[in-house]
Amino acid sequence: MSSEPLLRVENLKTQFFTDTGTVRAVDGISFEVYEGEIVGLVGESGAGKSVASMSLLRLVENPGEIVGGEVTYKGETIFGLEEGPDGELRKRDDMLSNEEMRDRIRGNEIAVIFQDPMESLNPVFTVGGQLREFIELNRDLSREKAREEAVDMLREVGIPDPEERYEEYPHQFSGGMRQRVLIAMALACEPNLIIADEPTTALDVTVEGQIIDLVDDLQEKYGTSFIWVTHDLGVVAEICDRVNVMYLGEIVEQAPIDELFYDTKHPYTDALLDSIPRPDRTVGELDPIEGVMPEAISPPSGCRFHPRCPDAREVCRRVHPENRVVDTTESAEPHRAACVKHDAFDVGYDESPPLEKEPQVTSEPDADTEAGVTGPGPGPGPGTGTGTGTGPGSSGGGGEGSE
Amino acid sequence: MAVGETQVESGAEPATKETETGWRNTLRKIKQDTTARWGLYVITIVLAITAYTLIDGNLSRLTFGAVSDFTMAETLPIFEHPERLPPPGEAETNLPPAFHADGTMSHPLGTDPNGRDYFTRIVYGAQVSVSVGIAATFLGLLGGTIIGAVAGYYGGWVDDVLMRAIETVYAIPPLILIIVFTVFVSGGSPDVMYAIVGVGIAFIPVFARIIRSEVLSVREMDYIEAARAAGVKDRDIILRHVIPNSFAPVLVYATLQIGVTILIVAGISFLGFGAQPPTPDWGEMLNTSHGYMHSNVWLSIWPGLAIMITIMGFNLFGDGLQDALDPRINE
Repeated sequence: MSSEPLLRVENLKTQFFTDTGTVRAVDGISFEVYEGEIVGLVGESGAGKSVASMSLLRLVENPGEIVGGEVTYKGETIFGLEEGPDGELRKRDDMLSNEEMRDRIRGNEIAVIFQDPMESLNPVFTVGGQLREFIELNRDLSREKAREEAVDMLREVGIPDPEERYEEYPHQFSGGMRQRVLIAMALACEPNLIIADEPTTALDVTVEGQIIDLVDDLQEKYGTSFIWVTHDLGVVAEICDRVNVMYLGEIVEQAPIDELFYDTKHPYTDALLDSIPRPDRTVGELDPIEGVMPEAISPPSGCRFHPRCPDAREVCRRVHPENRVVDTTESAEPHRAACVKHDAFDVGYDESPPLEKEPQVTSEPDADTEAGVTGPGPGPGPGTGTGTGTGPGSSGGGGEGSE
Repeated sequence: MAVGETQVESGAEPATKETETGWRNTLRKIKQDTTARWGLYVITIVLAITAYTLIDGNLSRLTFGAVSDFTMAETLPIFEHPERLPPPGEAETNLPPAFHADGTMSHPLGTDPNGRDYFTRIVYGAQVSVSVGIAATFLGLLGGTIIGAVAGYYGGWVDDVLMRAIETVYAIPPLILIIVFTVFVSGGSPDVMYAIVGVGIAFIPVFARIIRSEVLSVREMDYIEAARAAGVKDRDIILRHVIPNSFAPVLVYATLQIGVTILIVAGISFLGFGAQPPTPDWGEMLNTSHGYMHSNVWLSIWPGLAIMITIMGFNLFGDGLQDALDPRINE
């Protein structure tokens, strides 16, 4: 762990400039991926997981843009900003050019496995033809060699009769088989890092299990690192070495897998774990997280999770916690969490009064510590989903100066 | 089954073995469809005739008025020379067709006011009418596909610039555009070649708009994103992924459009801006014959029929192709 990481992401920010305002889809996340490990990126839909992973390849589409932070891969700068002579931020000179990204990084060094195997293959070409194309493109092999390699890869990912299936079209493959093809495609170019964007979400559980086993085997064999993007903590437990939990564009907890599950430090992770069935715990009823995630266009003040947090106190509304080391594991790995209830944050959580139930879910977009404080007005009930609406709603009222 | 069809048409993946299934499937469906089958028969016959006349004319009719010799027409007993005028005095002008009391079997469709065999002229008329129709449609298809695909794929200002330019062309009535283009570019001596380019340009907008609207949905597909993430160049993404997946509706439209183009080319020739005498062309023949409506109405009926049958063939086939390529009708 002491060596230089394969991929280092620092304070990465990606925003979408829409007509209704700036959506801060990824808002200052930092994490590392070391060689040969599988790092999880977990969160609800809309937490910014996919945008974060696409940002690593600089493939954010209009109106989205990476606005800050640094992404370093094997010492090369994928994204980096510096202050120009005019005081404006500008792209650093050592940043890889678009052509370098395309020709050297994408596919060759960092590959992606997409979520929907049904739509990630071009329907008008044969499966083998597409695989061959990718290999030809990224490995400079002749057509014949690439074909052999493609058939070998199909065999490698467990597709029976690869010679015959090479000639078939995507619609002749089942979902699981297609996902195997996509894995073959990603592995075929021998990348050092594979971003798996919810690769098993569209599959049923038995197939999911097979795919995960396959990835595990292949990962061992090739030593490829993975960033495993998912909303499924079960999958994370199965395969990841370390986990980043994302909420509303931020990483709220970052820990080795066992610590995350058995020594959870963030209430959001807790809530996530409570909302799924676990074999190691028997509960009468699952406990889903209340409400829905607010929109990233106007995140709540203070801690972004506070409107839904069972442990929320008054201070949570004011103080925005960054991700801090709150504990270290036996192997001296840091366990980071962004929650002020830990001693690492000395902001007076223990003295702060608990928040009234059903707080306002939204707040002013740029509400700072004092401004957007709202009273316990007639906020929407839990789980109705109406709470994500924009606008000040019932702000003001008796809540002002509630310190 | 759009699959094999689009593949072959776009020429992106020439490996025949991979395309066979898709092609066969489409052909099989067309064979099952009675109207489409008839369309296919008509097209096959018309295309065979066109190919024959093109070969016989040494393709020279299309190369700016070079003299063609029509050797085959002179050797075959059923034809005469389609262009050369018979010596004055020997000519039987304005003969009615053979089934008429005054007609003769040696001129089954009669003769024109200059005494040339009308059957030969009708057959050789395909040389210009059909090939120009197809060539002009292909030109529009090619230009429209490239412009529409690029505009749709990149979006933003590229899309704005290209589509506004396209719409400017679209706003001009096609006939006016073609005539003005033909007259000005040819410098006063109109020829079929200019008509092809003119008609092609006039049809670029429709093709561009159709393919762009398809591309707008195709570019959001995961396989496009996957290709990008794998480091594929934009050009290759457009040629190999975007166009083949957007091509089916354009292909259908092109087939239907060939009929329209033939009609328009005939109209241009009728107005005197296309094929020039003595070149046999259905539109040009209508132009010449309209002065003889009272004395010999057959002179107008035969080229009219030829145009009608050809267009009908392409339309029937186009309709059938549309059904065959429609995934919702797939079994």
